[in-house]
Amino acid sequence: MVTFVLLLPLIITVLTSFKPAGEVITAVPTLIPHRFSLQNYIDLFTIQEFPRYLLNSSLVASCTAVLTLIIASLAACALVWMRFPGKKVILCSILFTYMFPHILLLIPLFLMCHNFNLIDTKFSLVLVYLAFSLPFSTWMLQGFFESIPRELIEASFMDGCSYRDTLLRIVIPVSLPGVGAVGIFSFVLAWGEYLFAGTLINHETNRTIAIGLQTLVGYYRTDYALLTAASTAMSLPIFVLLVAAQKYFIQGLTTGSINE
Amino acid sequence: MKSARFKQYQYPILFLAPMVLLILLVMIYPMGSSIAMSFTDKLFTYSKTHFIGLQNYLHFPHDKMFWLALLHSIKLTAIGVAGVLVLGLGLALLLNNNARHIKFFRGLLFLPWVLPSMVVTLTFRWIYNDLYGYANYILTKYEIIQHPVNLLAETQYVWVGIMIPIIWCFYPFAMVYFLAALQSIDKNLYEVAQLDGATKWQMFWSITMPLLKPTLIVITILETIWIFCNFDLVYLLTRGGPGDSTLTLSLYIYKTAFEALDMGYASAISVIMFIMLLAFTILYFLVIGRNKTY
Repeated sequence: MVTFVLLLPLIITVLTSFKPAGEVITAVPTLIPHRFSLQNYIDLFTIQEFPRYLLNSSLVASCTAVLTLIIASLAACALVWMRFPGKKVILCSILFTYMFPHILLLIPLFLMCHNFNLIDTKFSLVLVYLAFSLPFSTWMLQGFFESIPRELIEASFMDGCSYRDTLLRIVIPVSLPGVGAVGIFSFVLAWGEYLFAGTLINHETNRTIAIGLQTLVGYYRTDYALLTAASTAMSLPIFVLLVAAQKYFIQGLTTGSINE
Repeated sequence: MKSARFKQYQYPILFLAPMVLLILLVMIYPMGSSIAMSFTDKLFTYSKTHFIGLQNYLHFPHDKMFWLALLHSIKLTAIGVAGVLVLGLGLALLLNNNARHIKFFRGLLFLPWVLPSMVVTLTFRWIYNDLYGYANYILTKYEIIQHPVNLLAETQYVWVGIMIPIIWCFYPFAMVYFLAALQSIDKNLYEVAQLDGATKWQMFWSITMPLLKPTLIVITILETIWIFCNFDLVYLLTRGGPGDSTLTLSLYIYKTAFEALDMGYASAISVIMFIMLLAFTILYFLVIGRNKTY
């Protein structure tokens, strides 16, 4: 019951998106459409730019997720199993950068991208998102890696495996849920980010879905049928990912910053 | 000698280098340049800049807009954090049982946290819509208000209008953390209390609350930082309006930089905001450090 009330906004959006045109705007709003219709989705995908926005977002988000996984698992490995000076400093600064508010970086990052001619490239977005997702991802992976028994790693070295082999063949498979959770975290972060996607990208061909949705608001101000359909389409990948990895995601999140 | 040392630490250095370099490039270096910029009169459209010393910092105490924005930020944070804590804790208590499908509900209730801010905004704009929206329909039907209002366009209602989405977006994190903490509480404590004839309410205040205190502090600080800095939701919902009635510090920085194009002054405000947050972050570390000894 409480769940229903709290998720009501979401339910309204999803259901509105399936209403046929005449039913969206009525004097007495109803929750459940009388007639289910996919017309809004058909309209949505006939808007030329929309598939492109989706594609851009998927591209940026997948790149961010993959690169985050590679870089963060390397770093987490070093932090968990290797001995070197300055480890504590690095751990502390990871936590610190995790809480760093993004709005403060907007101006300098914008100017930096401007100077290096990176404005309007997807590369700049990936770079920025990567830096935002790395601290937390490393922290999360470190928690998962620490739960792997040390003997397993030592045994692998005894058998003559290199660092690379150990990482690929033992660490990653054993902590697959954690790795998946981190991948999803960075994907979700990059998928819906608004502030940087809005300032670093000007040209239509490079817009991500978050900004694309905003342009739809501009063009079709009152067309809530279309907008709710677009919102649903945008949330769907996230919803699927979250359902798929819910357990690990939440577990990873909580091991994230309470322990240690 | 030097190469031997490099060899010894070759792997840690190689493994950590990509992450450290990226964070230096995208976070530490920009922050430094932002601090440097705050001492100049850099304009966005004009490439020449002059060093003007502390002028930006001397200007802000007389800037009425700055104080207004700060006040709004504090208001937003205070109401937001209070709402998030109450809702998060309440839900965590509700979900802390072993009923069937409870995991499914946990997952569902977590959803608002990962929704893109654009989707949240559109959803609430649709619900608030003054002519056809759901909120106004219910409010007028039960005669709580006489005429439909647009919650985001009228000064006296706009704070209600923006607080609901913000609390809605931020409660899942608190909920999940409280839940994790609740589950780590020893069940025997409750059984003993029950034998002693304690009521549910007494048990909550004398067992649950004291044991939740460390978690409570950590969540309060994290949520404070996040809501204080929130830009997306406020900007997308109201753009700081109507008038300047919801202009927060984040929005003021954005507007100064990209609408008034005064990058130097915007950087100075960023630095001031950063110092405020730094104080809070240090508090966070102190609390975490103390928790270790628990």
